[in-house]
Amino acid sequence: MKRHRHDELLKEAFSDRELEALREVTLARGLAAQRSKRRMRNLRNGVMMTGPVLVLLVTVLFWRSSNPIPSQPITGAHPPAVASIPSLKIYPAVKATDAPPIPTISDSELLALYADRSVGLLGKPGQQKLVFFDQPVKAVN
Amino acid sequence: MTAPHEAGANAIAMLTRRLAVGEEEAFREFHAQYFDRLHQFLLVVARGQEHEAREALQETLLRVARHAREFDDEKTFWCWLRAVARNAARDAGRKRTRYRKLLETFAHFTRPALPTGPDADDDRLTAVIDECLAEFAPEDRALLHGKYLAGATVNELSAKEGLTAKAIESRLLRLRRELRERVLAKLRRS
Repeated sequence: MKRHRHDELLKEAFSDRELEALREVTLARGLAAQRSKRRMRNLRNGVMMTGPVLVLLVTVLFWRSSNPIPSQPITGAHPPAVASIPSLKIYPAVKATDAPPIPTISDSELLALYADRSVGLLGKPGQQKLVFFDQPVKAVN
Repeated sequence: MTAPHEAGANAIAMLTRRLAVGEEEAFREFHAQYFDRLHQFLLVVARGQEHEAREALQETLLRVARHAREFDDEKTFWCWLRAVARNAARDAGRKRTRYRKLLETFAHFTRPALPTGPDADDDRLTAVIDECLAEFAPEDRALLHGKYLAGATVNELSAKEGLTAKAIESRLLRLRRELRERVLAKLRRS
């Protein structure tokens, strides 16, 4: 109680214009600091809330770009639902291995295919290109 | 029913929690409650150097706004505030010229030992005020005592002294100025 009374006495004894100005200035600066602190806190909370989601998203995108999902092979393991309809003719699924092999032809056989045109083979053996001399050359990237 | 000290502790806990999250109204309350108390404390720390005390006060309040955290009771909070204020005063002191610092260091080592407990500065100010009040003439001391220790109003004092309220206010103003000078002089000498 005595201390409280001393506080009042000191407050009135030391109060002057300069101290009142300081009171105003410190209040304004403190309030500005509080506002700044609250903004930073909100920003930090926002980052903490959305950060993990963003990291997860980036990880998934990176993983998908580095490991593309292979297309599903068409097999006869899962016949379509229409198979039970007797009027429809069911064809067996075509496997890549069932396709006929691509025939290989020699250089002369290739040139013979374009006997009526002005053609030629340019480049080293094994890396040759078929060039048509009777039409303008297109820029190729 | 909540005990008064428990209610006080809850109020401090709530105030400091709001301060810690950056609530502006909480800082207004804190400022209203602690501005004068911290100023008086820093007057003792700065040994009566008003300019230094005010400079440190400004820095202290800014640090509180930036680094406040939750405290469970008023005593712990006040201990923390004193530590912040002392650090602010010390940091402000570091900015002063080397020569002045040297003189202060010399004065620190040559001055008589002061009480150094956790409440030493608070106790020191109370002791200085008591000393200063004791030096006043009995009628002046009675007037100050009546107004600030007994809590009498100016009208009550004027009726008791047989003077007008204006005359009492004028005397109180003179006595407050005198007390201020005496307190500062004693703190500077301490």
